[in-house]
Amino acid sequence: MTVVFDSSLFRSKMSGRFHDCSDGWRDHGSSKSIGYRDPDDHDLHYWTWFPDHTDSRNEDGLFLYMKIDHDRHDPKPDDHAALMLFFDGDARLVAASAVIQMKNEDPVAPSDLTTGSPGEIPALLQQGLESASSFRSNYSESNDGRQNLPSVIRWNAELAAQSVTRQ
Amino acid sequence: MNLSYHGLMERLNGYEETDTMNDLIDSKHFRFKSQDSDYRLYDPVLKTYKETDGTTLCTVDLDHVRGGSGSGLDMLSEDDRATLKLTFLPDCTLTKAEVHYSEHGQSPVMEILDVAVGAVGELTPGPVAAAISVGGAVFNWMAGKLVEASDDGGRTTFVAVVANVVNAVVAEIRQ
Repeated sequence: MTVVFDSSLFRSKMSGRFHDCSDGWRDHGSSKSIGYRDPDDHDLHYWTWFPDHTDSRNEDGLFLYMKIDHDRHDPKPDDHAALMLFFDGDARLVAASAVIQMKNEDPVAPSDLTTGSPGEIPALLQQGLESASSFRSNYSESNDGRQNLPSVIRWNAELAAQSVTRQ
Repeated sequence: MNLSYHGLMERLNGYEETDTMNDLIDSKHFRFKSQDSDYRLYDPVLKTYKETDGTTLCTVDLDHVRGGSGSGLDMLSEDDRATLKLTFLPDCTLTKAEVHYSEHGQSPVMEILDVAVGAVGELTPGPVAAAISVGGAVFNWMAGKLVEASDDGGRTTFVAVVANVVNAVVAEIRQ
């Protein structure tokens, strides 16, 4: 029995949440990603890259990592986010963390690992990102899609957690 | 105490090994891709202090590869470097963790992390909780030390790569 991530289930769940989600994982040579748009503002465009993972001791547990990009359209550099999800041997989400990085700006990250009951963690992670001082001072009023990044990260966490199972 | 380099690479099984031709042929390392960027994991060095407390220090170097042209040290000069120094008791319990990060063009920074490993959220204390607690602490500390984003997000991803290596080392170290 191992804890595994079901990438096609995740993609279909993302499709239910976001607008214009790509049909499958698009191949970029060495890696794959899915593209999608904000459900309320279709101009806002994001990408989630195919997750990496490591197994914990005795196959009990899983570290799942995904990169999320906010596509600001060339020549503006993309914003990047790293989302790390920690699962126990029963495929329960037990902790999470994330960082948002924008070119030449202070990183946006909660100061501590986000823990709680599995159902609460994604929303708590969003709150942690939104209350980070670098986010509050620079992006909470932004309307170019940066303001929505904590929410995009939350939904990625929530839907990825629903796509991790014990097999 | 020992740590199988092969086992470590196998545990990083989400990563795709990339061509190591012409890339630092003098050192033993695993070059791999995470998302759309390149990284190196060097062969970890273990040192056991038999005369004193019997602990083992495991030192692991990692690069975020940004060079790729030139040769020797010139090629390394563009890379970001992270070093983990993990101390284990003879029963393989992690007792101390130190992380160093050197972003290209910035002053190196380091931190000794709190590894007073208790429960993580609702998880029972044990090896998995320890890996998450320390891997998470490494992620959060390094996330706060990032200065300039790289265009492909490879620097952001480096934070997760280092945290994943913590997990792999804690899982693979053996008496």
